[in-house]
Amino acid sequence: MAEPTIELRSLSVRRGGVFVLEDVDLRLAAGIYTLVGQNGAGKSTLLRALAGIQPPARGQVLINGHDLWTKPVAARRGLGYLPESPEFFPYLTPRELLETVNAVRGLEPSVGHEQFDHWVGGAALDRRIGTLSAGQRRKLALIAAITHEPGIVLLDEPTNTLDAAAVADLEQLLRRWGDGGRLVIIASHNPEALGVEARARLRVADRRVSLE
Amino acid sequence: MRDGSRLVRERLTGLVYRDAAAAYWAGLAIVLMPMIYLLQAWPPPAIRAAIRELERWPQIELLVAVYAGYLFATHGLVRVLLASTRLAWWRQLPLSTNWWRLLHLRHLLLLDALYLLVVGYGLEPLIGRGETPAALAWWIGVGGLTLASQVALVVASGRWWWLLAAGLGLAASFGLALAAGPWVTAPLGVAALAWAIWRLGVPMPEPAHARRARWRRGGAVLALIRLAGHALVRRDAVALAWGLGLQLLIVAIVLLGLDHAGDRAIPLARGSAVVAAVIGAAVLPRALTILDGDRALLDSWGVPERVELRARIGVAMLGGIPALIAGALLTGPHALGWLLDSGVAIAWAAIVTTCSSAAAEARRGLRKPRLGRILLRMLLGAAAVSLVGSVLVLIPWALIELARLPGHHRAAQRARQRFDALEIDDHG
Repeated sequence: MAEPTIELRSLSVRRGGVFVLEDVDLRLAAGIYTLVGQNGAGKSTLLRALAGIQPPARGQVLINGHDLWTKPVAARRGLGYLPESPEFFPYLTPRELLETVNAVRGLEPSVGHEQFDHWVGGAALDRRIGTLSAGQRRKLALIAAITHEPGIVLLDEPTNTLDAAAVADLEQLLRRWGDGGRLVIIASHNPEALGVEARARLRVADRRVSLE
Repeated sequence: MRDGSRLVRERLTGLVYRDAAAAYWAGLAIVLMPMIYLLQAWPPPAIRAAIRELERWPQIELLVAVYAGYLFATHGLVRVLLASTRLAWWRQLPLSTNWWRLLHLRHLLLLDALYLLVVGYGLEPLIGRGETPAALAWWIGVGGLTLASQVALVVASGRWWWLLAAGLGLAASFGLALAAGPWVTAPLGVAALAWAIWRLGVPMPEPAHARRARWRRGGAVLALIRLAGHALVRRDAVALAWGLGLQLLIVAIVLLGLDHAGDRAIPLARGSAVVAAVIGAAVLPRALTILDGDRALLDSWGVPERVELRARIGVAMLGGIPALIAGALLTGPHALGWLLDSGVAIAWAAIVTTCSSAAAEARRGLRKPRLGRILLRMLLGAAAVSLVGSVLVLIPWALIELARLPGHHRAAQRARQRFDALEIDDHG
């Protein structure tokens, strides 16, 4: 696997009519990065922009050298994103969600079932997502984000609503990813709580992103 | 293994349409039922003939009104189809921009299929006269402009004034295009559709309620109004029903007066609007009394003063709405006059009642009977309107009360803190 990279070129992002990020230039290579900043500073917006959910007002996002908006398929193939509050269609079952996501990624429909069984319980696989608890939905969102073992993983407040066992599993997973040459960005108000050593810290403040 | 992009397309189409149906089925039923009756009483060929017989400008005005009405009626649905927050998560998947464009276009066409058929039906007589190219040009122009307008309104829906400006601008453009004829409308429609298809490839702006709007756009005010509404419905439904009944009775008296005395009954209608507004606004002190027991909890939320005052005025105004609507619907040629008089009276009654409720709260008198004060206010208001012959006399009164309102509100807060603290000390 080639080394994953993220490159931002003069990236500006507007949300709710105001610039949340302005003229951000950044280049990240493999490793674990924590993303910090005050409430409303733009951490989630930055991750949304990197995941291709928030279009930029100006500038470019390059994922593994591919522009996220002109070469979306190539860029997003190596990407996994866990939003802060995953919003799923409540009528879908976890089995259907994983089947659909895996089909788009060219994977077998059952990929992720084992992890789901371990974290949530296999019986919930055929329940509607709307009937799952917030923590169970979050676990499902995390599993769905990484079924294809992406080189780049974007996690927005990953430990929110997770139980202790899942947090411990996530820590293990992060260590494995860190050692395995992946690029992981974790937005968190308390990055030390995850117990993983970060390569660097990204700070969002005053519409800029700095590497510390 | 099934073709992934096809599977996700089928699933997402089913899911967004299910979301749209879940959100708007009641509204659709309300629109469709009268439509069925209308079409039974006035069949489509008759409607088409009536529109075609109209003069040019009234015809254009009517078609612009239909177009604007359709945009307004479908805006919520289009937002669910194109800008649902539940679609955002799927954007991380490796799907091309064209795939998203086609998905959204397919959703729009499914929604607009009936509208496009109706437009085609309206143009069918042109084909009968051998003007098929013109009919096709009209159809392409009107269809393209409508679809593009739906997309434009979703793009503009982040801010209400953008939405309003976009709506007015689009309606005017549509009218001008119709006036210019099919050979101008068709290229405009094609150009607008091309823009819309391009725009469908980019995620739509987040719906206004999703982030910024939560507090700034009246979310807190609406939440407090809803809280008062729940309190009234659950704890004081009988009094609420009585207030509603009284307002309807007043409207019935006005109707009788207008029926028997014609324009001579207008002063009666004016005075009645004031009385109905005061009765309606009386829901506010009742709601405040019910919620008084939970004041400590409400205060702990740190609700800003202006938010609470707006919510209180809103509750008092909503109380007077039944009479306003009933009167507007039933008074026939006097409906506009009733709307204006009732509107001013409701605003006045809401401000005066909010002010007097805050004053009562400051005196720790929320639970004391205040029927006498309400009757006095009603008499004074009605007398002032009768003397001057216009409800406009209530406006300076309302402005004076509005200036006094923050002072009363702060006094009420101080009194509450003082007395609530004493009660807590007693328990300690």
